[in-house]
Amino acid sequence: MSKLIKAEFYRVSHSGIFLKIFIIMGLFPLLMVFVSLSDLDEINMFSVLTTYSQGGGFLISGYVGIILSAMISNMYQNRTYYYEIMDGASTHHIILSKIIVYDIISAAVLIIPTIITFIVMGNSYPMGGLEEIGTTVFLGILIIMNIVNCTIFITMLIRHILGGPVLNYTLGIFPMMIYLTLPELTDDHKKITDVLSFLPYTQITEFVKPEYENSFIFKVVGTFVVCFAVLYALTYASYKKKNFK
Amino acid sequence: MNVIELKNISKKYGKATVVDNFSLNVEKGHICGLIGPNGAGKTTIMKMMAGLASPTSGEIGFFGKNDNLDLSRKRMAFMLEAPIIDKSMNARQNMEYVRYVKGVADKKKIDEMLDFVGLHDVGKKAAGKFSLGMTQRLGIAMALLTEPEIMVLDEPVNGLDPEGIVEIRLMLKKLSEEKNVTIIISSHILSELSELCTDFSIINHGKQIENLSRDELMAKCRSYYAIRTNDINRTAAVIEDKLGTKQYKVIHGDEIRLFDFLDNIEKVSKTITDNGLILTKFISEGESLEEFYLSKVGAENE
Repeated sequence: MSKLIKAEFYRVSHSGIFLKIFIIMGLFPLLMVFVSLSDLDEINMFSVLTTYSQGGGFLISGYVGIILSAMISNMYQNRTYYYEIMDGASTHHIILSKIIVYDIISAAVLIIPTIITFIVMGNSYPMGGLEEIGTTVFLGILIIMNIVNCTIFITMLIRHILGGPVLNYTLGIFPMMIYLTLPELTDDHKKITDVLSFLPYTQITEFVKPEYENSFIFKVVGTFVVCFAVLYALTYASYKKKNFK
Repeated sequence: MNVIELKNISKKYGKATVVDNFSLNVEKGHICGLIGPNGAGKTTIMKMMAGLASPTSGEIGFFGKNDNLDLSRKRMAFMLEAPIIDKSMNARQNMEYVRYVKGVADKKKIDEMLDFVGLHDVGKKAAGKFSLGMTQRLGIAMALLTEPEIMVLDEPVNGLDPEGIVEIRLMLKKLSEEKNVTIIISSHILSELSELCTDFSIINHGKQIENLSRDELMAKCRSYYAIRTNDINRTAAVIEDKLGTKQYKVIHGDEIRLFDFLDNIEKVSKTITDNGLILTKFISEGESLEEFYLSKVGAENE
């Protein structure tokens, strides 16, 4: 599998400008933290994460699908993915190599700079102790990785540049708008928001909490596991069918 | 020893049968030409061999085994439809990508292959800006990078200039003769295939028409007399009336190919001249692969 990982890293870093766009766009949510928290005294661990979660979440949901999908679908557009299949690579290795490569890139762009800022800039954390900080970071990583993984799987399933955007707008931006605005529009919102809260795209807006209920943690972890398992199985089945156009 | 064995493979997409009970055996070191019109199913057969499509029925075997085809495919190279390249990368980057996918340790192979196909001096020009011929050359270089034992090439000389076509033919011949590489190749340039291939497989509408070796082809290519006279229409009438045969064809309105009386040249020439016609050409010839193919596919289509 290491040769597939190396090949994918090579391809994505030399093919087109999408990686550069992804890196630049990836810094926007962080930039947003500093722009919205103009008073330096406001910047602490809690404010960094809250602003990142609520404002950056929107941005991440909006562009991750589009840019990441463009990066991946390039290989379907020019059929370079044929080489992996024609070389007899195992379907598991093909899928996992993509997950590893794009998870690493996404972590490097979306998560690591935020964590560094969070550590450097935050001199106080009013939410509690180390345990709460750990839980917040863990949940944040899981939710962002879930969004990234869903985009990878859907693009591999649809094998088209529209895979990511379609996913993000139908399961991301649109439900997120409903989720955030529905409580103000109607009293009978609980059922809908309960369902929508299982989507990582809505979870990203509310993962920073002073206290965590177990149900929320289970919801985040459960969504991650279920999404990964179901989409992995579908992608595997689709590749195994071997009707590549 | 057969290194490629296709047994009654079929491929259906929905209700459409694209390949129907196709069989083919190719021995090690042989070059097999897959011949058929557009849409005959040649690329689908190659895709099934490459693992890009699975047969609806039938069996595929490589190197005498049919149980772990993915393992066998590591010893093979494919160039299907147009060469598969990333248009935003340059030639070297495309080669480098394939080197990573295939796990080729030796980086020098890239320069060797680019030199071999005459693309060593293209610099950083993106592959998307290459001419059709350059793209074909890059595709061939990418296929040769791993020193495969079997090569499956779909229209590899498409878009090449005559010089390039000859170069590729000589290269493939060399690979087959010196390195014992087995090759399956499809092309619409049948004259090229007839010079290159040791075996031929004719396919039409997904169905196998005939598999034959070069010797069998030579034996089957019908001999005929090529006849030209001062009046081709009257010559045709004389052949029908006086020789009593309809086994002839008028080619381009100025030549007759007579497939009958091949053991009686005197009777044919005497009959024509005795009827006041002047012979301007009278020689014994054989059908080319192209003519043989057209007679087979034409008959099938009729």
